[in-house]
Amino acid sequence: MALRDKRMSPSSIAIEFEHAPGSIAGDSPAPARERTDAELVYAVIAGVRRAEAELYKRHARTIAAVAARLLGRSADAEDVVQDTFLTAFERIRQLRDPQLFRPWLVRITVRHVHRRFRRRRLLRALGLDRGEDDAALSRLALSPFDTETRAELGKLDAALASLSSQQRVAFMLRHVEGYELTEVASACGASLATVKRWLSRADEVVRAHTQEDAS
Amino acid sequence: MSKLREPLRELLRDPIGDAQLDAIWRRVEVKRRPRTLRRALVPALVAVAAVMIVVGERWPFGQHAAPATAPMASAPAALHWSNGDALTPAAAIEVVPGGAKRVLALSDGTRVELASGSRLVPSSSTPEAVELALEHGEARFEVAPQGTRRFEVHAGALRVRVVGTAFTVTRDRDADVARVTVEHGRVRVFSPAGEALLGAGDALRWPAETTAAPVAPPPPVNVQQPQQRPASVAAPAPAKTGDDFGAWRAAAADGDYRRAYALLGTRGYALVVRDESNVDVLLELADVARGAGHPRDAALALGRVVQRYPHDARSPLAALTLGRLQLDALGQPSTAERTLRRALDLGLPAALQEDALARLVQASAQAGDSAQARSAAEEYRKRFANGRYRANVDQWSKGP
Repeated sequence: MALRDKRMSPSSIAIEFEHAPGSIAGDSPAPARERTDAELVYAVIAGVRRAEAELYKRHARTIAAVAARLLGRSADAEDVVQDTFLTAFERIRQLRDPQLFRPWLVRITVRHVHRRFRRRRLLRALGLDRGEDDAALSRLALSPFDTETRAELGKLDAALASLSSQQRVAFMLRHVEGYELTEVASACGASLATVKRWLSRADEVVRAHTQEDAS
Repeated sequence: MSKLREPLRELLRDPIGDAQLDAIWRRVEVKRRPRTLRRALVPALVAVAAVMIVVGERWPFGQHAAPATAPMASAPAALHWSNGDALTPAAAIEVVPGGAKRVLALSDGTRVELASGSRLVPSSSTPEAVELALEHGEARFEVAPQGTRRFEVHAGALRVRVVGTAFTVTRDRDADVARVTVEHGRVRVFSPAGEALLGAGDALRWPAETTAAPVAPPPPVNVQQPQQRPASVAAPAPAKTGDDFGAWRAAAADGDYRRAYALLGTRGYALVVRDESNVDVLLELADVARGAGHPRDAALALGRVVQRYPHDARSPLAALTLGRLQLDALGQPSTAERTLRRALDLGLPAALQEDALARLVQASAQAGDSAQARSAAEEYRKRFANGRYRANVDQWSKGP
């Protein structure tokens, strides 16, 4: 059996055994290549600040887009992005499998999104919710001149507004972000059965809204 | 359901742009900064009249944080104040003691904050270079990426050139003391002693020896360290090792480890490691040596971390790296066996324990310590019954 040390820098480690006869590979400088999430996670654990920046650069855009679409507000989404990465870096040693950094990050994001929803409900109850839904789906349409698409997205916005936050998040992860059911369950921290229940209810509401106008 | 094709995100634009993402990252970085570093900076700012210059770094998304988010031009025009005034000595800005902080902007979006009791004098501005002089007080800059233009701030005997970084400069005109502290990125500092390239966490004070109490370098988090050598810098000053010292870190940051190692050679790698007390720098030195093909030197630096700073959070990882080096590159399986056991005892993160245990089995087997190999293999099988290295561990622990 050969041991190959995947060369990484700086001060990060990954070890893989390869089933190859013969020599044990030693440390040798490797040509520059993009490091995997796992390698970067190890580097962060080792205290390498650059690795945090690399992880942020790699995932922030996606997390920001998901958060903004879930929340419908870019200002709230920016706070969630910040909180997500702070949480992730503080708790990174708890990550059991560094290769699963991205799904773990999404789970953290969803938790922070729910916090925001709770806060928004409270503000709304007090008549203090003055946020603007600048990231509602209908306002994010790539082609602002495609009125039909915008109209459909507008119906979706209206339907989503009547869902619980759990149903909304599940629906959006599934139909907007394109996650598999298992990925939705993982992100929501819920069982597959629970997620299916949320999605079923959400689908009913959306169907009702979209068909109501059609009729 | 909706008539739209899924996933719907393909019909949608990203609502948060690079500039906002960069701004978020800066907030994350500030919050991630160790409290000890923030405390170390406060005495410096209190003890001396502070000149603070924060330069827009090379953000993760390549944008700068200034209000004007125009991309860098390959042939920049001469800068001027955003109100159109030229950057000349006649356009000096001053805030009297007790006056309110003034916030101004340059034409490229570079932001200037001038504190109470401060005076900033623009020396010159051409397409090729901008020079400003802080006569006294505190000025904070967020400098947009300058492209090919040189951007310098003078503070007494110090001349600070923007390379792409965020840093703080302090100047006490009366005591004639100036100090540069780099928050992130790199800055090139010219002093009467020579030139140095400072990286994140580095600081330099000029003159190096003063009657004022030196600001101790921030200790790593969760560390019980031996007494630090008195230092007026958070990282070795250029006078310590000559002109090349700061340059090795820049070369390492670029991944050019052979060059970085060569730059250290003027003093000798071993001497540099012997005198270094910053764990970050020791780990960088280890990477340089490994990358340059000098595993024995790398083992020296890693060994120093493990021996001198066992309570540092990075020490277990340094031990694991050292153990692998001893096993793979140095042909020292017995030593590796001890080092790997130490790495596990020091408390490796859960994510790395399987690797370390597997390596321990291998090292023990190669050292001819069959009993230890079987014991470690047993431990591995108990904890990682379906582990990635199960087959290898079984093979190694079979013995001759």
